[in-house]
Amino acid sequence: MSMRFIPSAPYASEAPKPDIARGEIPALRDHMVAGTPPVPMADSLNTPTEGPHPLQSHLKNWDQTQYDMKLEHLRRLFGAHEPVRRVMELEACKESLPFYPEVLKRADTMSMSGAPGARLDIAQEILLSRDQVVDWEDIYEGNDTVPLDFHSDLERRMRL
Amino acid sequence: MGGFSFDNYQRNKFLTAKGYPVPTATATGTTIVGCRFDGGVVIAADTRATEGEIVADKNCEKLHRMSPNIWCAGAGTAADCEMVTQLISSNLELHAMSTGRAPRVVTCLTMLKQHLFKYQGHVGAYLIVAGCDPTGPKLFSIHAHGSTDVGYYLSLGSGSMAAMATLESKWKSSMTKQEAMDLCAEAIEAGIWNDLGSGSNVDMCVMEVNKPAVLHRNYRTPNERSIKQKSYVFPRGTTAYLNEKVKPMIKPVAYDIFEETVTSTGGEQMEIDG
Repeated sequence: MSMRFIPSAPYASEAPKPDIARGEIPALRDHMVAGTPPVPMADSLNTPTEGPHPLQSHLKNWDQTQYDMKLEHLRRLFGAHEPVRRVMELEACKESLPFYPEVLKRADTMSMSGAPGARLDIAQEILLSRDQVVDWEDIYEGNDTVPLDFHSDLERRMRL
Repeated sequence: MGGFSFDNYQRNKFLTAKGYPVPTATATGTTIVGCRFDGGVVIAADTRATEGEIVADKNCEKLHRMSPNIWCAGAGTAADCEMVTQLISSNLELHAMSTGRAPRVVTCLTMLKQHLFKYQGHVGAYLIVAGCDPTGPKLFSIHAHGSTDVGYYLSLGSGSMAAMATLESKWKSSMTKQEAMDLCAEAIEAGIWNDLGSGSNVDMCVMEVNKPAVLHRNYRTPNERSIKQKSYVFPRGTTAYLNEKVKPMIKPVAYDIFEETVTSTGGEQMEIDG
């Protein structure tokens, strides 16, 4: 449990330490003896050159990190029962049928969950205290990256 | 994912490694200032929008309304400033409806800085937030990475140095409304004249305690286009022509005329329907 409020970097920040108790000695790996090709260490330590953009994992894990920290706060303030209760409530909400008030339904933006757009169930939103917040994901639902075939792409480009 | 697409990141990285040129970051140019006075706060901005070294818009609006009494001046990427202020404005309204109170400037500031911090500076919005709420007039500035400043007078953008020089030399505590407006206009004009990224007119917004905010669009227009010395409107018949042929665009349609005869019944007056 940590009080992290920023998602951690998607790569290792330190090299594995040798376990002296098991007879490992801190030294460079002898690739001749081990019979393995040398592994460049810098890539695994620094930002991986072939890895995704650092912002990608940052944004992906942002909400979860914030939520984890909130639960940790609650655990320290009220005891372990509080985060347990909240997570159970959320899980129960996810298990139950999607409920969305009729007045808030809009037929044109209905998604699979029964809620408008890509939004969560209203009950889940209340439990996550996101019912009073609007964000990009509520407006741009990410459905605009439909792969186009060659002909439709050309038609779009030529404005046919 | 929040308006960002990382689809081509790997491909672009591969191409960069192959030696293809990478698009360089475009420098943005703006001057925005804010200044507090007794019983209110005023923000001002220039109106030039640039695309690299090209002036894209000579009279754009850089002052954004967050709530009726909180306004925001934006520097940096114009689209980011516009969309971030719109989103936070909506959130501010939702928050105001939820709490049943008028939104505060610090609330707006916290929402903006938390949003910008989440995107780690990739949303390039540099903002000056000002407004009057029940706690009085407030003035803040926010940078794209989420850091914020508080001050009696602030400036941001590429013309901030020129504007700050004016503010530093002419600012004094407990100014009147008109003094603050003049100072802000002068600071923006310093940016207009001395910074190539800023130009055109001065927009201004004045927010006073317990009064509706007043937006002065084009408060000063120091760069009005002068009348050309020579008129390029040629008088009719300037160009000589050798012959003239008029082709009727509308073809005449043949039609029959029926004779209309009005028969009078004599001295009797015509009856008019009641």
